[in-house]
Amino acid sequence: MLIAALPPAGEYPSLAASSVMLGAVYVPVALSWTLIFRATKVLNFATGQFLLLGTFLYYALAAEFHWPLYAALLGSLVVIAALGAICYALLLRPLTGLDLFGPVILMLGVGIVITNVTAIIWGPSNRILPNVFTDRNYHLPGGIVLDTIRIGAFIIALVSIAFLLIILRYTRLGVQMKAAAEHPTLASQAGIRISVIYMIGWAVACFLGTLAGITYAYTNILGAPLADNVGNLGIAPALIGGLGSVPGAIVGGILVGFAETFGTAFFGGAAADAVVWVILLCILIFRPQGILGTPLVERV
Amino acid sequence: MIRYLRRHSRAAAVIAGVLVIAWIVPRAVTGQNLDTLDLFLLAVPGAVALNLVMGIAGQATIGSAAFMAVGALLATILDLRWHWPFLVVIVCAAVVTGLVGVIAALPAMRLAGIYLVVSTLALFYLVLYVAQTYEADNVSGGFGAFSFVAPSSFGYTISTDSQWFVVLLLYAALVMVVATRCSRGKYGRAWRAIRDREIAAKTLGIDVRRMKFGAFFLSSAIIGVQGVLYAYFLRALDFGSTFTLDLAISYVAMIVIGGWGLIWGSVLGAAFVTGLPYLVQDFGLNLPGWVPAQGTIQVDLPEIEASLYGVAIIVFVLAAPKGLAWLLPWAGRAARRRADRLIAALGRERALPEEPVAAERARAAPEMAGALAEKPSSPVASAASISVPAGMQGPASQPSGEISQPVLSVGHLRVVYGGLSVAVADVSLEVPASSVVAVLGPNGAGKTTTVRAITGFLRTEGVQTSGKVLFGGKDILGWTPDAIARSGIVLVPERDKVFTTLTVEENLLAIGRVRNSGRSRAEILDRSYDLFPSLGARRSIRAGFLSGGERQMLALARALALDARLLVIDEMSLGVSPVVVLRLLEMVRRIVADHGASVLLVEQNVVAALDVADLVYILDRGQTGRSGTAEQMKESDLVRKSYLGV
Repeated sequence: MLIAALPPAGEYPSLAASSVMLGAVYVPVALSWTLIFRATKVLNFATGQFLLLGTFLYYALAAEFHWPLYAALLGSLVVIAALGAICYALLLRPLTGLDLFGPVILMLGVGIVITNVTAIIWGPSNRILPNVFTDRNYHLPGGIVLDTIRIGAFIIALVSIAFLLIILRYTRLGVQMKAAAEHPTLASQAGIRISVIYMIGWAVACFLGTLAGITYAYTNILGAPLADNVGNLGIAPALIGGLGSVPGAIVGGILVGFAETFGTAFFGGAAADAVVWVILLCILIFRPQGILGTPLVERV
Repeated sequence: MIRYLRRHSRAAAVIAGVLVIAWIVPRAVTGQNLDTLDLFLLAVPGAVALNLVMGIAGQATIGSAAFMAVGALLATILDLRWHWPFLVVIVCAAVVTGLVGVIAALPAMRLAGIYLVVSTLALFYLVLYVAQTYEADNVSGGFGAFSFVAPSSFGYTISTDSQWFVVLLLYAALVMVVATRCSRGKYGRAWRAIRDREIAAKTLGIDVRRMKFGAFFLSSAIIGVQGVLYAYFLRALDFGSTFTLDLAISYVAMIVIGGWGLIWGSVLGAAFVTGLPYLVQDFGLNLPGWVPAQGTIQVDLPEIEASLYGVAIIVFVLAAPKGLAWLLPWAGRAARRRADRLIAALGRERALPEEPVAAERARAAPEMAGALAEKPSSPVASAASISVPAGMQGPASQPSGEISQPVLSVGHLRVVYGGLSVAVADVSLEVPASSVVAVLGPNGAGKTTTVRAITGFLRTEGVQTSGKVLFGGKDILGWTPDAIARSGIVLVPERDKVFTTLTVEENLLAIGRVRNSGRSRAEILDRSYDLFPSLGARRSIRAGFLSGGERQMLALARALALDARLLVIDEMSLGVSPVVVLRLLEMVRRIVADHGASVLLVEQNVVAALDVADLVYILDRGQTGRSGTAEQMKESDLVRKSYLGV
């Protein structure tokens, strides 16, 4: 694992810009993991599969049913959000009070079902999402080159983060979500319907995940590996930043963007994910609560 | 000789059984079926090993595929590159994979549960990266896979399915024996203690660190050897497509489906998971008109099979969370016995420091009970006490003389925990409109249980309740806590009254939507700050930084924001200075006067309670004892003697 070749110094600004762009795609996925964990103390190991299904749904609506793109986007997001809420209400709520493995294994099972149903419906071949804008390159100072699609993905990520922050900070629903996450018993004593709040939390999380899936598929390609490359990798930024912390997910997402981009530049594409997992292992061993997380509940 | 055989009769039976199976099965079963049996036997050690570390030692991992890959990688290096003999490869793989397992266990020293799952997930991706890099550098040609020749030692070659059957059976049996012995012996006891209560395990003198490392070493070593066998069995090995996350999940599924913490359960699970594809195939091929891979939708058997397997996992987690084996009648017996022994051991451990307290309490209890059980000296109090159950039928005759419909009336409430322990035997009480009612009583009198029943928390715990809790003419026993809160009974709990990470303002807004209220957030905040100006001054401070008294105020303010008609305040004076208690009581009086709300005060601080209450009930051993107005209670000799100490 020697460094293949140091990239020339002039490329660093461009690499940094790419890192932020890529990181911005990971942020919504990390938020998806974090939100569900915060609310229901479950790690949703089907995050990747939900977003895979959502992205395929978007593809089907846009390319096969020829819906306008915004309608396809809205349609797929709503369906996946509803699916997430139903998944919580039907499968996870009965497990409330059980130990932590039950839900983890359950979600692994749900993930297997979704992956294979997706494969049965759409087959194994990769797809290219229908274009939104004509793609062109923008040359910025410092030798930074960005293309339209990545800028679009970046903007969508920013909008989704802003959307979540506004909900959490400025709405009654946000306050209720935070209250239910901190102390479910007290929240229900305050008249909050916590299972409804949890369902909404799952819906928002699946919504964000699918958004990330679609933006990633635009910068890349749509196929089964999307679930692993975006969804399951998303647990890394969530944990690195601090599981359950919204600012942590943002910091973690950007950090993983840097790790992947520079990992590819230094060690080659195959090593990019390995760099992320090494960082995650170090975080887990030396600072388990993550960069911005509050001290662990889950400590032994 | 006979004595020796008798003592080791089980071992002899096991050996004999294994030999018989190894002789018969390869002769009776052939072809595809034998191949399936081989795959099943191959899976057994992995499932057993994972059950040791996860089901018995309680350390969640998802690293099976990683450890198998380590074993297989060693096989490719040691055999294909250095041409070491098969048995040496096996031993090396066991040791090295065991050590990798110890490294994987490092996070387990500090982490538990899902964090540990994630660290093994990270380990999985890293091992796979290393293996794939090695594969990319060392495999030439277009196949992209390592190829093994049939292993041999001492002149025996393992190549056919029936030869593999014998080898795999022997390995599975060996692993079963080792696992069973470990599980029954002192290691098993220590692992279970760590799983069930790690801190208690430490106090029992268990070296938790060593035991966790041991569990990971043993389990990883078993899985590593399994990986070596798998590599040889497959002959052509490609890491990326063989050691997938799905493979790791399938081993977790084996334990979940088979049985948590039961060695035999792993075997059941392995049979289920490895057998499922064949069942599905047969099922699919026998469907009338079944034509695979046709039409616009491509239907592939592996995907249907995998979906069914996912569904099976979901069904098992929901329906039989501990696995198939626990459904067998005899399965839990040994485990229950062990659990009892552990509890007994923990009990002995705990009893030491607590003994004096417990003894004192035992001495004090009859005194207290006796004092309260005496004939009531005040006839008025006795009359009030009798009037309570009668109040269930009609308007209560209040000791104060008013006649009005009570806000809350509890009638003959009975609460039984776990079918055995009667926490509340027969409690009846009433809260008249716009009044403060205090419920007093010694520890264990049933005060908290009564509060929990009124606020709906017994329902969520699955406790047997009977009787009536009438609020606004409706029996709310059995409603959910949040529905009760929205209907107007708001609990101010003993501790954890506020959301510590939320600001004061957010705390006031963290309430469910009350019907017919429609109050805007500005109205809620203004009203709260009006009532408690000191909260207004700290509106954007996190509630975790508030003092005990301020927290109490915040909790009261939030209850009023919910339009409480009945405030249930549990131990208000706990952890609050006497001066603040007086101020809070003043608040409570104002709430009653200004908002027309009633208050049910559950208190140990009798002086404070008698000061503010209109009516007083005394609970004793789960029953409503005496009751009366606060004035009557103050005058009562018994209350003075046993509570006021004058």
